[in-house]
Amino acid sequence: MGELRSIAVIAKGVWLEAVRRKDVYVLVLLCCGLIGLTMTVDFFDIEGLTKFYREIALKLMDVSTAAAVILLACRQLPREFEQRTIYPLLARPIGRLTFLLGKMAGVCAAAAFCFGLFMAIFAAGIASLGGGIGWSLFLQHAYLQMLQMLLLTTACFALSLACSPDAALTLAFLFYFTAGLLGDLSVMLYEVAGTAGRAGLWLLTYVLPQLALFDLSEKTVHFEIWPALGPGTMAALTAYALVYSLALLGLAHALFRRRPL
Amino acid sequence: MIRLAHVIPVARAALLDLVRRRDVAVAGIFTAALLALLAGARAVGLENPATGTLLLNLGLTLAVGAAHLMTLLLGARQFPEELENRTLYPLLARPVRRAEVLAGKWIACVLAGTGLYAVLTLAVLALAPRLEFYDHRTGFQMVALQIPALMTVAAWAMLLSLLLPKGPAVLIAGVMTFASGALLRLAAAFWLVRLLPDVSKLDLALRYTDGIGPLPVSDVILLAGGAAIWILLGLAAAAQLFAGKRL
Amino acid sequence: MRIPAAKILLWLSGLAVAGWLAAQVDPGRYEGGRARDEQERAQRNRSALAVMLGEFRTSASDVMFIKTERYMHGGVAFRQGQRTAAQGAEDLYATEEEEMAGHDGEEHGHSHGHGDDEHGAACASHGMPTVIPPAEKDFRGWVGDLYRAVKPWRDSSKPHIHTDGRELLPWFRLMTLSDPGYIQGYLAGGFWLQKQGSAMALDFIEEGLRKNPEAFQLHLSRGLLRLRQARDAEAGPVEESARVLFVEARDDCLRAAELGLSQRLAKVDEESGTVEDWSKYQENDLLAACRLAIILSERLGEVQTAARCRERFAALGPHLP
Repeated sequence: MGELRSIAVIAKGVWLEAVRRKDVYVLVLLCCGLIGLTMTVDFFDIEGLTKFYREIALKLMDVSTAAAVILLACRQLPREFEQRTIYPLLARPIGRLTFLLGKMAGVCAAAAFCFGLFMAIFAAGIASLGGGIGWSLFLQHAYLQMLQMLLLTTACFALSLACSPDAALTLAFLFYFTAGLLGDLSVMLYEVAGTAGRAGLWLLTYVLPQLALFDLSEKTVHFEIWPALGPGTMAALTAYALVYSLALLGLAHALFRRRPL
Repeated sequence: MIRLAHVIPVARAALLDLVRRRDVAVAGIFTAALLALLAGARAVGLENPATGTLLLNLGLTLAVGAAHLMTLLLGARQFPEELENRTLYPLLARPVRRAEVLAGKWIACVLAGTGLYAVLTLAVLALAPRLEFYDHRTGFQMVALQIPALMTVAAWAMLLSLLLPKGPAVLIAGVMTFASGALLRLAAAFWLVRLLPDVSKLDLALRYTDGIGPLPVSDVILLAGGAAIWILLGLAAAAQLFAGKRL
Repeated sequence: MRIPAAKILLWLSGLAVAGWLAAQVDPGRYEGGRARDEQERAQRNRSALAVMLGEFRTSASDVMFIKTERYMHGGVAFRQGQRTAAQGAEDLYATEEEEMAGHDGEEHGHSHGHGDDEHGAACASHGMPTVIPPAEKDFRGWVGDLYRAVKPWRDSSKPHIHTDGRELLPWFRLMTLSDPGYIQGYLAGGFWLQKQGSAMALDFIEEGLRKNPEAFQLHLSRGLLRLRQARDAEAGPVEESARVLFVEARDDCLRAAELGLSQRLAKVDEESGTVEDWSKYQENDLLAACRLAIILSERLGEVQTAARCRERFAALGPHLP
């Protein structure tokens, strides 16, 4: 019970920091500005082009939330070390794992706050255009995005403990932006690779978390055509995200424990 | 008046700080990612000259993007972090003007960005196959015009970091660097958008890989003139804000 | 800290001057270029590298073209670049020309892609491998299964999804805004607008012509649009307006034929006699423009003009009426 309370206190600190800092609001404003500017273009006076709006808005929402999470998660641990605020924290009876879990919960809560803001704007935009949303796919997309943010958060923690803050930030952004490429790339390379190459690609497929699996935006854009994902697929994706997040959290914890204070 | 003798040590210190903070690792990551892409592309094979050109264009564009990103991140962090960690005070205690500190840091950011751009561009030109005709004069212009582009990015990232908290400054500088060209085309009707410095105008990678000849000298002068004004205005406003900052 | 208003005004004026200077130059404003060349686009989009990169490209118009391809198929990504909206003006409005000429397009080696109708699209993509392979060809096991469940995917041996072209229109608008020299964007956008029955089709093609006055395919495209209008007007009560439109359509086709012919001549290699950097789509469009110029002149009773055209365009071979 005490552990849970500690986690909640640390998470609240991160969440409050995210809410008070201007980063999230600037991101939201920037996104709204970009969506608004795109929608000012005259698309031949044809009304109800909602697929295009869904595409642009979803892409901006997803990328912005990921950017907010990466920026927030990558600076959590290095800053505690730099400003020496970690010492009084760890002097209390708080384990390092509890500390990491609290930070993780806080970053995820901030991600949910950011994505929640975007969802409201997205729904308002669609309503003003008189289009539909395809709620089941959209809510599944939002849920999968949260799982993706959990994965990204734990990856950022591990990276920020393994290398310098800027290198961690760069690697995290590279990982996020090339995630979509990884799946297609491995399939293409497998066709031309030799035995060792194929073994390497197989290993890479299972070692690296496939972030692209948590991006349901393409089906959400074309929701008139595609049905919602079945419960089996959703459960499998949840299990996938939890297993990889736990592994990354374990790695971050191991690095954290080895780190001299 | 800026005294060069005071600016150079500041620039040198800022560059040493980059090495100390292992920013070279970031440059290494970009280079490794680009080399991995080139190697991956070679592994799957380039069936025709058009695909070779696609790879060359992609490599050159990524080189520009990585250099811009690094310059932007470096420029945006110079003042917020130094002010937060109070590491700027010992420097300002010396007989050095604030404008000289700004100029020194700006030079360091530009040098770091240009260095990364040179390494990445050389790697792409050496490793990506050139299977079609490309005009070397355009190639020269492409490289030369990136220097004012990087100078502009550094100056404006520093200006925005003195105006806003670091996060929003990075985001707005990012939009300005990577999206101003698109914004200008999409929303030219809004006069405010027209005031945005558009560094995409200084990127000739597509012109080079399209096999087109160089820009006329008059066009180069116009572009360089525009960029010079963006740089001066960015630095002047940053100097004004820094001078008025309470430490 | 207070900054005097005069200083701010001076600073903003400086920005305006810099913006004005930069606006005088557009390094991307040139005719042709490999990025816009349809043959090169087809080659690079069918390469393994392009499949590997997916939507990750450096050319905005390439990215948007891939988007339109995927929109056509409900988001499903195919390995080879699909012919979303035809490669040449003649492809787009082939029926018009065929009906006027009384020919079957295939007779002349025409390849009518998606531009014709949705059924054509279905035929073109049937059996085409998808970027995400089917289970039996995917080494990734259950990870591959998850990809097939999450991403828009359909076994390519089964009938494909085909959406109407309405939702593609914003992409063509953005394509031409990001690269006004990208003629293909105007051609395809004009086609889909015309399919929607939008009066903006002609405006869009004319916008393309203002920005690319030497693009013969756009002249042909405008001619074909006017031809359709003329045929519609012919069915109405005022015959005179139909004649005016026929004349305008003929003039457009004639201009397209003359421009195209001079551009083609400039690309003939003197030693080998072959035409270099000239795609089959350009050749088909040029032939279509020449044929229509002759047919329409004859229809308008201008026999001498038709004879002059026949003589002038004779170099193009035996496909002229």
